[in-house]
Amino acid sequence: MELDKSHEHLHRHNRRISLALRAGTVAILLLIAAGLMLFFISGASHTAALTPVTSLMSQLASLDPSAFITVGLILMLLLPVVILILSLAHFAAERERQPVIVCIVLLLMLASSLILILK
Amino acid sequence: MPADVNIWILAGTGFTAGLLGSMLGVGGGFIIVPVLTLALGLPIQYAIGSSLVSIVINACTATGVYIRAHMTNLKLGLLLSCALVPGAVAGAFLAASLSSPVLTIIFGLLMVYVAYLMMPMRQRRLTPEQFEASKLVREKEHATHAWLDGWYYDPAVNAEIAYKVHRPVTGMVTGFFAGIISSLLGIGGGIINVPVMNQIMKVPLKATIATSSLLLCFTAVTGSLIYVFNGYVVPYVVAPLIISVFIGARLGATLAHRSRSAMLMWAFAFFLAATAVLMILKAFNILG
Repeated sequence: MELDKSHEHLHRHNRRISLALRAGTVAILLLIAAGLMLFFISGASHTAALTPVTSLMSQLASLDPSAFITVGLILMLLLPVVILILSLAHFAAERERQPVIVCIVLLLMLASSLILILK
Repeated sequence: MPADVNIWILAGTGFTAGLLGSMLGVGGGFIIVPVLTLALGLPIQYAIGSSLVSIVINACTATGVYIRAHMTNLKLGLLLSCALVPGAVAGAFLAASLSSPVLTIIFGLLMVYVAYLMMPMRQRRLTPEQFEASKLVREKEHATHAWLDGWYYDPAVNAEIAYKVHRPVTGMVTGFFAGIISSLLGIGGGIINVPVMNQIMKVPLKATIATSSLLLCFTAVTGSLIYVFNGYVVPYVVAPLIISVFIGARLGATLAHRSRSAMLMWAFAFFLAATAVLMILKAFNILG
């Protein structure tokens, strides 16, 4: 009975992650497809670089293709973090000590990697 | 960076990489990097950066499908990612210090070994006494990490498959190296993760492939960040790649959990061996 309940919770958690990944993927694909279409329509340079975060809003407003793709990429790089945060919440609710520690360690590792890269 | 790249070659490459990548639990970088450099003439750094970014969407798409089918071992995936992420950072920094031919030869030799490891007939048969003795040792070792054990429903045999995870420390050590290789060569790291999880950690192949997709999400994101911040990701190149990789990955993940494990293993072993030969020939300039 207890095992069934634990399985049911895991199933629900799996469905939640799957839904988050699907929603995120659809949003990313729409943004990237919009950016690609704008490349064809506007005839912008094919060698254009990604848009800096500071000018992202203004470039989006002026329908810059690279800005749409940049937002899509930022969302994409955040997707694994979403998996991690949802899992941390699930394992904490289930009071599973080892997976909670693993999630926290991984979250810290991703954060410190980002700091190292930015340096 | 060439001013004009053929968008149809990019789309075809992405679709093939997505399809094979999610069917085999590998990232697809072994297709994207050679095509972008050889067929489209992109500098290797741009090819690796584009490959890693595409792998993220491939891995996230496949992970979404596998996790919904309850085939992913989430705890194991998260634990191994703790070793893969620092490996990916180390690999990106190492990439600057090795020459291309050296990297190509390392890549080719590694693939030959992995192909050998994946062949189903390679598994050694033990005598009944040896089997009982090794079982006792495994049971004793296993008690400390029983929380990693998993199960999944296999529609191909219409049964729930429960399994025990063995040697997680070995998995983490090799995971660190998989992270290095991933960032170094622009591949997902699945070529190491899949055989290690399946052959050494004794995770069934379908659960291995599903869990490997989760690992790729974390490894490729870490590697991608470095290439994005260094300006090696070009929007016009990655956009068609990402869209086509997504379509291929959706199809691949659907086909993978309906197919038989042994067939997948043979296909994977054959593919690795063929790619390894091509890579080594290229390193020695035999392909021209």
